Amino acid sequence: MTSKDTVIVAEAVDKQISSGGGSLAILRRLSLSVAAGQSVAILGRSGSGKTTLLSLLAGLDLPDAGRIWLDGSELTALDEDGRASARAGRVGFVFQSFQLLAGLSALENVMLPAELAGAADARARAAAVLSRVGLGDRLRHRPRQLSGGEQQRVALARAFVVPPRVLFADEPTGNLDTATAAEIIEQLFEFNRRDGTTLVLVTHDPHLAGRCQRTLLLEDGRLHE
Amino acid sequence: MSEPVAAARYALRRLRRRPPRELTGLLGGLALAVAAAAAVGLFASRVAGALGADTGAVLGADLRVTGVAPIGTDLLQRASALRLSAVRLDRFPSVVAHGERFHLATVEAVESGYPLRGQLLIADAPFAAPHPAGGVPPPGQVWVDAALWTALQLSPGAVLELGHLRLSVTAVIVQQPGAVGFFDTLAPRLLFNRAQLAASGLLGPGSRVEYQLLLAGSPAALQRFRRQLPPRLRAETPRQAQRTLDRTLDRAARLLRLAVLATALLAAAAVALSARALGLAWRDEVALVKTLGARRRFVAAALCAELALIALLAIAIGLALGALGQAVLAHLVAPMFSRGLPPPQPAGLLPALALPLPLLLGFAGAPLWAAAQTPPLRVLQRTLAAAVPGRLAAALAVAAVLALLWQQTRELRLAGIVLGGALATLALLAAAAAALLLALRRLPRRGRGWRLGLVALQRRGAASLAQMLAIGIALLGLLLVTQVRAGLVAAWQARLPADASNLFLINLQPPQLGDFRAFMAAHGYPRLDLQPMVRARLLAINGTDVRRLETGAGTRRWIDREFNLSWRARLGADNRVLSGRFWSADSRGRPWLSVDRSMAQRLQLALGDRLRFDVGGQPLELRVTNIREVRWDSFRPNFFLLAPPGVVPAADAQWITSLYLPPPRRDLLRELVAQFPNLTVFDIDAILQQVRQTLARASRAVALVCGFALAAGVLVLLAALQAGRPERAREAALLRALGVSRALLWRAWLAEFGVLGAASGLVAGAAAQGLGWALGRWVFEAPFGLHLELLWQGAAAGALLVLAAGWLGLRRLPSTPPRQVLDATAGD
Repeated sequence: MTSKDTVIVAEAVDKQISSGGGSLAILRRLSLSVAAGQSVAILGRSGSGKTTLLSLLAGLDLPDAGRIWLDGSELTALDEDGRASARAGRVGFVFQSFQLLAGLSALENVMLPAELAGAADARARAAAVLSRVGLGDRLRHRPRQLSGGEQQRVALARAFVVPPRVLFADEPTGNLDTATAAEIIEQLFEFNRRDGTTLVLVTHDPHLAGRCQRTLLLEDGRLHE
Repeated sequence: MSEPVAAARYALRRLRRRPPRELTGLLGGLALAVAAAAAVGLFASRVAGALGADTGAVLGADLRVTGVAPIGTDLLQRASALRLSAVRLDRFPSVVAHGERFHLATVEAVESGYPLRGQLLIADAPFAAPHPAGGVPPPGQVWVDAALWTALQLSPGAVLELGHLRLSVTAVIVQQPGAVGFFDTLAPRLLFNRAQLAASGLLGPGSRVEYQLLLAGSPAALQRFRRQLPPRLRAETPRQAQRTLDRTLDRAARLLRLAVLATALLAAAAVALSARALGLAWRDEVALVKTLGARRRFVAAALCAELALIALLAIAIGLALGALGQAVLAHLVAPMFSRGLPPPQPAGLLPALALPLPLLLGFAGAPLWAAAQTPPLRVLQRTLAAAVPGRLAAALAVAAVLALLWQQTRELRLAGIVLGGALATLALLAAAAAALLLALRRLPRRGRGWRLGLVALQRRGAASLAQMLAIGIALLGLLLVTQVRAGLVAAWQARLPADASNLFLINLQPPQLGDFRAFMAAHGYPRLDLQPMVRARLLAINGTDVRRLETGAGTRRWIDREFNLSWRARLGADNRVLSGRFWSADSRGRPWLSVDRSMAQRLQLALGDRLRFDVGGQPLELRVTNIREVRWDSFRPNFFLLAPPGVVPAADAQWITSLYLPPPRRDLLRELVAQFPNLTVFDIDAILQQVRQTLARASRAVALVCGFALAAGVLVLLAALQAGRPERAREAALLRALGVSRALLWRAWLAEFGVLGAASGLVAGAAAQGLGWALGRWVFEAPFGLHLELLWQGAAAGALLVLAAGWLGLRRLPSTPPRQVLDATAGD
């Protein structure tokens, strides 16, 4: 379904969640198409389903109805392993709470996706990308020895150690002060430009949304451009 | 890089960086279980060798080969080729004379080198101070026992005629290895040099000689020798020769196995608790690596690799600890063994190496499998997690417990008791813990710390119950291996009190009974238990001539000998009826028979079977009405065959009794034998001494091995508290953020841990009492009475240990900034 120019397609997607004995429709026959290299911000009130949509587009969850394609793979037709394979080496993530493995050093955190993608030079690549985000001298530090901004930069490096076709970011600046957030946004878009990565961001931050080529509002289970 | 290699590298990296407290229970539990099993396995292999060697004193050798034809030189050569020490001993009955007096004696001709094990003690005169013989009687000399000395009215240097020989009496035998089976050899004994045997002219055709070859050496060589033995020869080990010691050793081995089992089961609890906590901690990682593109195969491979690494590390630590443990045990116990301890056997390690797999699969499998199933979506929704499959977890745990029980006990009865006990204990602990939690609601709640602590305990509900259960199990283990073990050992030793009979007096004739009773009463023994016995030859079973019975050579020899048949109206306290009914007091004259279990098994006897005997030339047919188990280690006269009074012809009876004569009163024996010259005295002080020593050794070894179980119990305690740590940390951070002072926080924990520990300890104390009773009743056959002190000991130990462990685990929390804790545990 996706063409060379389209990396994400969602078609008539429904998603319900169970809530207090009943069920609540979060997404209703939602459709979306994102072109390669495009940056898209998804806005919406708390509880509007932004993160649910992100999880479906990334193949972390399955919709109740509808179909989703990611970089040519139909996620809705794959099992969990198939969806993991579809992500490996092609998808990067940046989370609000950084999601670094506390036991591993900055370098080892960044190496992990490269190793999962089968890269033989995982260590060199990780060191290089950490240098790019300004953490060349922090390779052996553990996450708890780094500031919030530094941790998010490690997460950014992890997302880009294997240049992804798509980067999904869930409130990437939510836990950061304004100045640090601006730095991170700068680096995010720098990667977007250099590697031609498609960006799909879920955010409340109007400044971040304003930097994106497309802004979508999620309301009543549907997207509005 | 291939997926498995990447997974292994990832696992290694993770393991190196894991906080030690995450692994304490898992690694520590496995290591301790391996250590205990390895220490006991290695140590037991050494002790078994040493005890076997020491009990060799019973036979005077490690192996006794007996035949009815002279021991050929081929056997001696074979023994020598296997580097076994060997001496020959020929035993036969003969009449010996001193002047005008004659007496039937059991004559033993011994070679230089005898005894190979144990010590031959002699004295210059009957009941004088004994000293080691340091050899065998030189040619021309003879040593006799006190009974023969008295019967022939000998004096030092007296000349004894034995066949064609004239030998000079130079010593009295006080203790002789191999002189067991005192009901088989009723005649007094004498010992002379085998070099003069031919010259004695006693070995003519038809002489009833028992030719013995005594052997000593390595167990392997002895086994090889035994395998090549012709069937006409009978081989006997010290254990086979001595029923009493056999039971003692069996019980010691059971205690050791039980100590290992207790360690393994406690380790299982530690592994289960730790794996549960580890599984929870792994969920976030699993979700993240799956999000980053890892497939389930990668996750499973990484998880298995990490577990394998942990197991290998635990085995290495456990084996090192086990080797150290067995060395310490050996060092402490070795002085008690006359010849030190032999080196450990590598085969002793097998039970230890077999432990980690069932422990890991059974107790860590399910929670870690559940962790591996964590959906990737958890990176965005922290409440998502795969549930631990309850049925699978229970099935795996039960299978693992069964495997452990079988591995460690190899005994269905003991395994069944432990399993039943464990399940009943769990149910009891759970019920009691739930009841106590309910009762806590009624406790007065004065003071903020106290209130905060109790509220926390109740709010956690199921978690508190689970924790109480885990702590209760740990405390139960601790109480079992300390207090209950001590009580059982004491009860066990009490079966052989300091005043257990050390003398058997045999061969009293019916006309002497009145005088004998009067003599003994005058010397402070007014109520001696005198038992009659006659020699009876078995003729037929259920009308079939025993000569026509198809039996093995051993049973045939057994049938051919004469049995001691006794009669009594009431069952002795050291006898227990296994099937049928013992007769009542008014059964006088009934042709009934009570048979010991081992005899019933050997002759395949059942209730109702008719046995015909020849008693002093008269036929006597008796019907089996009950089968008994006899406690042979009671050191009282006991018999394989019993009839009611008034049925066995009593004319030829001789009477037997046992008594305790303290060492300072040994002179009484001289008077006794002077007044009743036909009386035979069997002094079993040396055997008693040996049994007591064995008991002491075994108890000490068990106490030391229980140290591992104790450590495992502490580990369970730590793991149980560690399991609730993340939640406590989060609560503490919240309370701190809301302005609760550190002092108040500590007071609340003091109340919570104090009550948790004391309540768990109380329940564990009650369970320990019940289990102690059950173990005493069904396993050790030693009474374990009411020990109410277990309740307060459990409660006090519980409160103290839980407080200490709680302080160790949480001491840094109140000073950790609340933000740091809340960030780290957000969403949990």
